[in-house]
Amino acid sequence: MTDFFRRLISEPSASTPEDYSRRVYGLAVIYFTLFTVSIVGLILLTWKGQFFVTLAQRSNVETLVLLFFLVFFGYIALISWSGALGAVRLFWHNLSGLFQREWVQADRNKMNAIGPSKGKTLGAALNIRVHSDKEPDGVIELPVRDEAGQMGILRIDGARCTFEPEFDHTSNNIFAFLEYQLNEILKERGDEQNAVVIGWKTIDDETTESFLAMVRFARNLERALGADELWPKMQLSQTEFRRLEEKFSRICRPLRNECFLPDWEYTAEHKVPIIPEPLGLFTISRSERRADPLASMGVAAGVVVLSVGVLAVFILFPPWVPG
Amino acid sequence: MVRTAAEMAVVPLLVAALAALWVWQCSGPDPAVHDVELLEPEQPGDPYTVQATLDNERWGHGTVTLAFELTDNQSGQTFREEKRVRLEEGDDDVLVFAEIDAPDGDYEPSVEAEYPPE
Repeated sequence: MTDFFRRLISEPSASTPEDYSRRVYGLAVIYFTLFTVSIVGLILLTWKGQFFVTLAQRSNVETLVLLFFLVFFGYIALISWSGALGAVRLFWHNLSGLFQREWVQADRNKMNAIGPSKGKTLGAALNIRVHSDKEPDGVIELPVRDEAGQMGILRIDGARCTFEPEFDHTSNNIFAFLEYQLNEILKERGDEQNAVVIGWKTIDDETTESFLAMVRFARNLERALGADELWPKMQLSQTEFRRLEEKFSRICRPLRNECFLPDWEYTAEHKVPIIPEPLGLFTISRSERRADPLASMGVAAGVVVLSVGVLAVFILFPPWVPG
Repeated sequence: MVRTAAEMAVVPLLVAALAALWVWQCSGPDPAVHDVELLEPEQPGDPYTVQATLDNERWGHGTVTLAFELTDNQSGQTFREEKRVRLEEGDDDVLVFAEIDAPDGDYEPSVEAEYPPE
């Protein structure tokens, strides 16, 4: 996957804590836009129903298209409802936080409002094994916390990364953030290898586990042979570990904000039919292992805004139809 | 590949230009009716004539349905006649009329323009 597509679809806005924060606010805006604009679409279609039916029949477009739009807007409103509500709750908490002198207390209020986690653990697989230089084969435990409280524990056991969140709706983007931080360290060292998240357990656990099993095999073989490095390895110094800890502590606030929003992460497939259906002789496609909701819901928001925009243009400027 | 701001602006500008051209060239009219008048029959038994002036308040063009109606002020009964008129861009003060067969009475005329036509 090229860096462009990774930044656009799979791991957008995960390079810095500021980026992470912008991503969460962007998501809140997207969910709110999706819900409100699809409701506007439903209102326009029902309010100007007669106009659109006449227009559809006069221009030889199937009236069923209107039903499709009704179902489409209704479906989008239904799935984005929880996100829009989360966005309003987030906005409310941030607004009341502005009037409190202590951000710590404001963030603790947010944590009380979110409620505890139902115990879901996130997992991912890295292409390299990451260990501490103190314990070359041990597990790195990185508590993700700031003054307001702990958001979870990140464990890195070689290529296997897990995050036990204290609250629900934390996204896999935390592993994307880890990837960027590891790459920054590697770059500073002048190391040419790159850390890449190969699999996301909540999206495709079979592939992730089979990859991790292969890494484990390499690790066992390494031990048995007494070899130094059969699988690419990265050892974190204590200074680098503390830097990671500091970076992760800076994303606690966006992580708290993120918990107000739903977490919809899936694989994504984009198809471009060169010779379209019904012949369908040639289609090119591209698939991504993970589509961040910022990309998938962002595209959905774009489509909904465009559709409602076209409806509004039709109302404001009714097109020419045969008399 | 680094793109300049001008290169990046080409596609959105092209899309905006096409959208503007579409709205400009493929828009329907925006009919507005005024000066509705009722002309009494010249002889008993002849139809009433309802006339009005029609304007196109937008640059678009297309066929408009005009609904001429006479409403009896006493009984509330209505007599209706429909006509279609083609409006072109810039059409102003187009005189339209319809003859409506109705018994002698005290009527209130009205004319409604509808676009797109049913």
